[in-house]
Amino acid sequence: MRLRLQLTLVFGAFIAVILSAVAASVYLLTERSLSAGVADRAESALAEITSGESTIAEGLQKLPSNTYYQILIVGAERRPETVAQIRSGVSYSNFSNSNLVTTLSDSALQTLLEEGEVAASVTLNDESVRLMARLGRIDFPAQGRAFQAAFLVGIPVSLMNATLDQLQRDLMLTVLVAFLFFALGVWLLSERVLGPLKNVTEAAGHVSGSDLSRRVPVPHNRDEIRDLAVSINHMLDRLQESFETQRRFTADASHELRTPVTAIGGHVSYLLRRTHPTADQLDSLEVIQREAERMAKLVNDLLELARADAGFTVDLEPMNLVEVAETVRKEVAPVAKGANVTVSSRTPLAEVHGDPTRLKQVVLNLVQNAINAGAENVNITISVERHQVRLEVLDDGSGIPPEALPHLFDRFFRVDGARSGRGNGSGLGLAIVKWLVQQHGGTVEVESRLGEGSVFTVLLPAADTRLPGEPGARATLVEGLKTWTRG
Amino acid sequence: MRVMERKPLILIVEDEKEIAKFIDLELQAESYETVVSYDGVTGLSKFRELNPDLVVLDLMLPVLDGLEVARRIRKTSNTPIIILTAKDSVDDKVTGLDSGADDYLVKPFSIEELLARVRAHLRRVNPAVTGEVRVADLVMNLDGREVFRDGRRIELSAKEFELLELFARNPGKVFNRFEIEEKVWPEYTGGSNVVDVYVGYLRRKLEQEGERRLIHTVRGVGYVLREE
Repeated sequence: MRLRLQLTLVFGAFIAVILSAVAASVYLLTERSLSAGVADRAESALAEITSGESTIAEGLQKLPSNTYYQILIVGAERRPETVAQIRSGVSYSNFSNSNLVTTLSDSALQTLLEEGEVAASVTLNDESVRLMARLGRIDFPAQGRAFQAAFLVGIPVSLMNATLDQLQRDLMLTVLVAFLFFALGVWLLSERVLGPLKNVTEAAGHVSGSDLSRRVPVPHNRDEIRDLAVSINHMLDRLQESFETQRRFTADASHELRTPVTAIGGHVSYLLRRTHPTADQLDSLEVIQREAERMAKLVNDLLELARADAGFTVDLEPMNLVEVAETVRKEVAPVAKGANVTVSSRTPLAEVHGDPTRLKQVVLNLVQNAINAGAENVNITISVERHQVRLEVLDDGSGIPPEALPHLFDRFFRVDGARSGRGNGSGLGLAIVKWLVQQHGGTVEVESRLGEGSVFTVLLPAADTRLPGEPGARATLVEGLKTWTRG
Repeated sequence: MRVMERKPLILIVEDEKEIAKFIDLELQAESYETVVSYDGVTGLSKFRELNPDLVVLDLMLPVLDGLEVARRIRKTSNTPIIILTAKDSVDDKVTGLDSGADDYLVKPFSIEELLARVRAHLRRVNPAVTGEVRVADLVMNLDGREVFRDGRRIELSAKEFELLELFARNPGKVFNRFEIEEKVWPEYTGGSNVVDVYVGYLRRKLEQEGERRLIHTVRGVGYVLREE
C-alpha cells in the first residue's frame, strides 16, 4: 500500500478511536447528570410541596411539563404504618394527574414507610417513568388541621431520552466530521511531505547512463526531503565525476595510443612494400602488420564507445541503406577468408535517416562478426516495410549458445570466452552496433541456433513513412534537405 | 608554380619522429622531394624559405600548433595542406578545414591513402594531368575517385560518384531516368525513384555552401549537368 494511504488510514483510525472514546464519556456523563438533574428538580419540588398546602401549586409548577404527580392523603394524625394504609389513601384530586401509587411495588412502599422516601423506575401508560415518593404532612391552616400524605412525582424517562438521543446524534456527527477533516488534513500534509519525495524519486529515475548530468530538484524548505535531495545530488556529482574521469581516461588513452599504432603500422607497411624481406621476415612482418591493424581497430572502437558514453549523438541525413550494404560487401570481399558475402534487396533504394559512415560500420561489424564465427555464406537482406527498413545479416557460422545471447551486445564479451579466440575481433563490435543502431532510433536483435548459424536483424525507421507517389511525401523530403543544408 | 619537370617538394611538419620518418621514407620512395620539420615555427619558416608544392601537417605540434600554421600559410599561399590528426570528431574536422586545410586524415591512417591524397592534391594544382573531368568549378578526379567544387573536397558514396561521373563526362546531355537507372543500377529493374533520390543527394552535397546548381531537371525528360 502507498505510504500516503497508510498514513491517512492509521491516523484516521487513531483519531476516530480517541474521538469515539471522548464522545462515549460525554454521553455517559450527560446521561448521569441529566438523571441527577431530573431527580434534583423532583426533589426540590417535593421539598416545596411538602412544606404546606399554600405552596403545593407553586411546587408542582416547578416540575417539568409531562410530569406525573399524585398527592395521597393517608391519615389524619399519625404517620401510616402499613403498606395497605398507603394503598388505601385518598388521592388529593386537586393536585393529582395520575394514580402513581398503583405502579409501586409493596417492597418500594415498605421502603417508603421505613425511610420516609423512595425512588423507583416504573412503567406508566407504557412509558418508563422515574418515580420519587416521600412521606410528609399537608397543613391546612384555614381549617387548622393537618393531614399525613404521600407525595409522588413521576418524570417520564423519554424526556431525558430525547435530549440524550439528540446528544448522541450530535456527537456521532461531530466524530464523523472531525474524522473526515483529520483524514483530509493528513492526506494533504502527507502530499506535502511525500510529494517532493516523489519528485526526487522521479528525477533519480531519469538519471541514466548517458544522462548523469541531471540533478534531483532541491525543495526550498529546510527539511529532511531537502537533505535527501542534496545528498543524492552530491552522490550524483561524485558518480558523474568518476564516470567522466573514466571516460576521459579511455578517450585520452586511445588518443595517445593512436600515435604509436600509426608509427608501427606505417613502418611495417614501408618494410613490406618498399623492401624485399626474406620469407621468414615476411611472415614476421605480416604478423606485426596484422596486430597493428587489430590494435588500431581496438583503439578506434574504444574511442567510439567513449563517445557513446559521453552522450555523443550522430548527425542524420537521408541515405540509402542498400548502397551501404553493397559498399560493405565490396570492402569485405578481399579479406573475407573465403566467405561468400551477398546482398539481397528487391529495390535499389531503402532510405533511412542516418550517418552513412556509422551505418556502414554497423553492417561491417555484423558481417565481420559472421565471418569471425566461421561462416561460409553471409547474406545481407534489406527490405523496406511500411514504416521501417529491415536489414538482416544471415550466416551459416557456428551459431551462438543460448546462454551467451543475453550478453552478446556487452562490451568485451566473447562467445568462446577466450581472449585469444577465433578471429581478430575486439569484443567491442556488437556493443558499438547496438549503440549506433539506438542512436538511429532503431533496434537490433539476434536469433541463433548452435551449429547452424545466426541472424542479426536491424530495424531502422524509414526516412519517409508515407507511401511513394503521395505528393506530400517528396515535399517533406525536399523540406528536410533544405533544413539539413542550412544546418 | 614550379617547373613541373622537377620533383614536387613536400614539406612534412610532424613532431612524432617515428611517424615523420615513415612518411618521409614513403614519399621519397614515390620520388617526391621531402623536407621534415618537428615543430610549428620551424615548419612555417621552412615553408616560407622553400615554397613547397604540398604540406603534410600534424595538428598537435609544439610551439605553434598545426591549425595556426595552416592559417598562416593560407594567408599568403594556396599550397595544398593535408592535416594529420589523432582527433576525429566532426568539430575537429570542421576547425581543421576552416583553418585553410584542404584535406584531413585521422591517425591511424593507411599510407596508401595518404599517398593517394597527395597525388590528388598535386594534380589539382597541376591540371595538365589526365584522368580528370572539369565542368565549371566542379573537378572530378576519376583515379582517386575524388570530387572538388571550388577547391572544397566533397565526400561522395560510390553510387553518387558513378552518377556524377555519368553527368560530368557528358555535360549538356539530357539523360532520362530509365537510361540512368540502367547505367548506374544495372542489377535492379526499374520501378523505384532511386534516380530522383540520388540526384537529391548530389545536389545537397554539391550545393552545401550555397553554390550554383549544376544538375538541372528537364521537365518530363530527366536530368542534365550544365553550367547555366
